[in-house]
Amino acid sequence: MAGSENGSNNGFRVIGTRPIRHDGVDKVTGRAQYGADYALPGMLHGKVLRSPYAHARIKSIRVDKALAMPGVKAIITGADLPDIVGSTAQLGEMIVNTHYLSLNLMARDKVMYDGHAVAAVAATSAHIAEQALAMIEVDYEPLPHVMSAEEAMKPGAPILLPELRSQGDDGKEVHPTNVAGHIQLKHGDLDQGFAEADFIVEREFRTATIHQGYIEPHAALAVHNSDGRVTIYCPTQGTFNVRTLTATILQIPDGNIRVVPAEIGGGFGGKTTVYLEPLAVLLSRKTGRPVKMVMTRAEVLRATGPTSGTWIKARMGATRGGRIVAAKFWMAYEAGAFPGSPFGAGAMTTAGPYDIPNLHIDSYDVVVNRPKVAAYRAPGAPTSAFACECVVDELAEKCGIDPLEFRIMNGSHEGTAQPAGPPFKKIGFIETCNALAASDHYKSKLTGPNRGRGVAAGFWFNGGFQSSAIVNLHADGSVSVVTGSVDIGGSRVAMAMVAAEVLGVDITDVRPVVADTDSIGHTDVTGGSRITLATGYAVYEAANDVVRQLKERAAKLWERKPDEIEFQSGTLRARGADTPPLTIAQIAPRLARTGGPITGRATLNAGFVGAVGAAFAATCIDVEVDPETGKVRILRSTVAQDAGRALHPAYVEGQMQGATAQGVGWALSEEYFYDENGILRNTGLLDYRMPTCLDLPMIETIIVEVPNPAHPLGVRGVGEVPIVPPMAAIANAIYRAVGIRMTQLPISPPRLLAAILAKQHAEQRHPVAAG
Amino acid sequence: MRGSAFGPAPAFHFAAAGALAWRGPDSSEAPRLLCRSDFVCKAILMATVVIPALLRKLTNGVERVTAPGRTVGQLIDALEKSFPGLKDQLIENGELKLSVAVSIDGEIGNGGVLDPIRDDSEVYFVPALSGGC
Repeated sequence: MAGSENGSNNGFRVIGTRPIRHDGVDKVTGRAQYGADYALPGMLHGKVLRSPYAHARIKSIRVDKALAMPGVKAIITGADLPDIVGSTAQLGEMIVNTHYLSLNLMARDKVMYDGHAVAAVAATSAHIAEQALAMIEVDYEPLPHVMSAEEAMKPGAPILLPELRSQGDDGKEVHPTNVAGHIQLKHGDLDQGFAEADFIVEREFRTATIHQGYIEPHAALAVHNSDGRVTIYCPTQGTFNVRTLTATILQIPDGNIRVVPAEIGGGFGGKTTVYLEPLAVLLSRKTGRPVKMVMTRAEVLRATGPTSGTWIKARMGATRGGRIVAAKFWMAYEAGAFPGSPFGAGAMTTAGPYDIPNLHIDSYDVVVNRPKVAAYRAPGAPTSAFACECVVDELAEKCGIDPLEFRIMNGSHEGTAQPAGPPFKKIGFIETCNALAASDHYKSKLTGPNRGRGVAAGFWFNGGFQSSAIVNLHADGSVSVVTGSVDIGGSRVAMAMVAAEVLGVDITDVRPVVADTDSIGHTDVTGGSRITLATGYAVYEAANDVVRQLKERAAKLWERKPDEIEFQSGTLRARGADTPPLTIAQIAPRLARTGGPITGRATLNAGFVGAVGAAFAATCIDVEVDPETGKVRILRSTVAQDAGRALHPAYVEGQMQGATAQGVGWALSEEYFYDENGILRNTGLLDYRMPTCLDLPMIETIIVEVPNPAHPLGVRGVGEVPIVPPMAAIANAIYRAVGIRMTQLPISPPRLLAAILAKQHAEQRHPVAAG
Repeated sequence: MRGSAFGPAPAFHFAAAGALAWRGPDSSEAPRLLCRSDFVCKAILMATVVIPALLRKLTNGVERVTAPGRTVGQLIDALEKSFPGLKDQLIENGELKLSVAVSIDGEIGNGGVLDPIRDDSEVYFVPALSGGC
C-alpha cells in the first residue's frame, strides 16, 4: 500500500501521509452548509411542474388560476426563456449544446420525457408552491414515444428531433433520424485479423439507464438584484459551469453572476450542469426576491441526468497462444431526449487496456424519450468495458489461459496505440495487473458451491483543463490555499498537502478554501479526475511563487541577491554565509516591512493530459449465487489501480472503494424501470436499489504507483477508473459460479434466476453425458 | 485501408498544389509533398496526420498523410488543398470544432488551431471528451 502512517514516503514529508481533512469536523457535526441549508430574508420557494408524458406536444399552458392563489408571486414557462439557436459552449471537458440545454431546462413546444420541466412557481412557502403547480392547466397532445436505442434506430421509429438528419456517403443529408452522432475508430485490417484467429467470441450486451445516486438532491438559491447582479448558492461540481451556462441560457453577461459553492453531497458527474439555477434566477428576477429551489428524490431520478443505457455488439478473436488479433465493436448509447451521450468516450476507452493490431469501433449517439443523460464517473467507459471484458474473459477461457495472465499478455504499454490512435506514454497497466495477481485475494482459493471469481480491467483518461490557485502567507506563518475546485472527494486536503510540502510547513498550518467565482480565477469543473492533477499543479506553482518571493525578502533582509538564497524544508538560508537561517514562521511577521503581504498565484491550462496521465484499474470479485432466488452476494472484492502518486492514500482508497460500490449496484440492482407509457416507476431509493454497506464486504485496495512523468508530483487522476471494471468482474464471477454468461445489466435476481432455470431446463432436456 | 491519393505509379508527379509528390516503394507509406525551388527538388520534413476513419472518404481511403504547417490551423489548410472538404469537418468559425480534439505527439493540445506542430509531429484528430467523477 502506498503511503505510510509516519509521514515519510518516497522522500516526501507530507505527501503520502493521511492527515485529517480540514472539512471533516464540520461535516461530521452537521455544521457544513449544503445547498438546501441556505436561507435569506424574504426568500421565496420555487417548485417545478413536470410532464406526465414521455412524449407530447404542448398545445397550451394556462397559469391564471395558479397565479391568483394567495402566496404565489410568479410563474414562468418556456416562453420566459430566450431562444438560443445553434450555440455550443466548451466548459473545460464538457461540450454543451446550449440550445438543447435550454430546451431540457424547460420545454417549449414539446415535452420529451416523463418529468420534463414545463413551468415553475415561486411562492411564500414550498407547500403553496406545490399546490399552485396543480392549478396550472396544460393541454397535452400525446405523441408516440421510443424508449430504447434499438427502438429508436428502427426504420419508421417516431422521430424525436425533426432537425436531426442522417448523412449519406456523399455528406448530404438524407432523412430524419434519431441517431445524433456517429464515431468510427479503426486501425489495421480487421478481416485479416479475424482470419488469423483460432478462437472468435461474439456477444451482444445491453445495459440499463442508471443514476449517479448522489444522496443530496439538487438545490439552488438565487438572488437577482435590481442592478442586474446575480448571486447563486448551489451545490455543484463546477461553479464556473453554473455561471456560464446560466448566463448563456438567460442571455446575461457572465460577469454579472457570482456562484457560491455549497458543500456537495455527491455529484459523480451529475452535478456538472444546471437544472434549477437558471429557473431560480428567472423567478428571482420576476419577484425581486431570493428564490430557493430544492428537488425531491423523485425529481432527481425523473428529471436530472442519468447515464446512458447501451446496446453493444462485441466480436473479438485470439490465437491459440493467447494473442488478441482482432476486435470489432458496434455500440449505441442512449442520449436521452437530446443529443450528447458519452458515445465518443465509450469508443475511445473500450479495449484501451489491450494492444490489438486490428481494431474497428463504431459508436452511435441515439435520442430516446428519457431524461437527457449527464456524465457519470468515466462516462461511456464502464458499459463499453463491460462488453469488452466479458468477451476477453471468454477468450481467455477458450485459450486455456488464466484471465489475468491473458490480460497481461495482451496488455497496453508505453507506445501501444490507443483505440483513437495516439500512442500511450508511460502507463502502469501491466504493473496494476501484476499487483492484483500477487494479491492475497487472487492467490487465495475460493471454495464452496455456486461460488466464482471474476476479474476485469479498465482504462480512463485524465482531464487537465484550466485551474487557478492562490497561496496567501499570513503574518503568523500560516498559509491559506484558495482554489476554485469544489471538493467532492478530499481534494481540499490534497491541495493543502501540496502547499505544505512545497513550503515545508505543517499541514495544520494550511487552510484550504474553495472560493466563489468572483474570488478566484477561472477553474474548470471538478470532474474528469483532474483536480489533484491540474489544480494540484496550480497550487504547486503558486506555492513555488511564494518561495520565490520569500527568497527576495530574505535577500533584502540579509543584503544579498535572491539567487544567493536557498530554501529547503521551510527554511531560508544565505548560501555560503554564517547568517542564522529564517523559518517561514520567523520571516512572516516581517513581511510588512520588507515589501508587504506575500501572495503566490498560478493559473494554467493543463490540457487534456491524455496518454501521459492515463489511468488503469483491475478488479477481482468473488461472488456466491443463490440458485433458488438468483441473488448474488459479494464475498470479496479487491481493486488495484495505478494512481501515479497517491497524495493522500486514504482518499485514493476512498475513491477506489466508492467506485467499486457503484459498480456493484450497476451490475446487480440499479436500473430505471419505465412502464409501457414511458413513465418512470421506481422514483425512490427504495425501488431504485443502490447497494448499502450491508450489501458489501470491505473493499480491499492496492495502490500502484507508476508516476506520471508529465506532473511534478507524478500524479494521475484516480476518481473514475475504478468504476470501469466491476460490472464485468461480477459477470465473469457469476459465470464461474453457475456457468452462465450474463450479457444484460443489471444481473438482478429475477433475471439471473430466469437464466438459471432456463439452463436447468435445457440440461434436463439434453443431459450432458457423464465421464 | 490503403489507397493512393495521387493514383498509382509513376513515382513522381505533380500534385494539385503545384508541388512534387512522391510515393515510397511501399504503397502504404503516406505520400509526401515536396517543394520545388530553383529546379532543385528538396525533401521537406512534414507532420504525419492520421485521418479519422469517417473522413477517409475525403482522402480516397488513405489513413496517414503528411502535410506542412507550423500550427494545427496551417496543417488543416494544407490538408484542405489536397483533400477538399476536410477543413469543413474540422473547423467551425475559424476554430477547431468543439467536438474535435487534436493529439500532437501523444498529447492533446490546448490551443486549437494555434497549437504548434513540429516538423516530425504525429497528429491525430480525435473526439473531444467529457468526464464525470
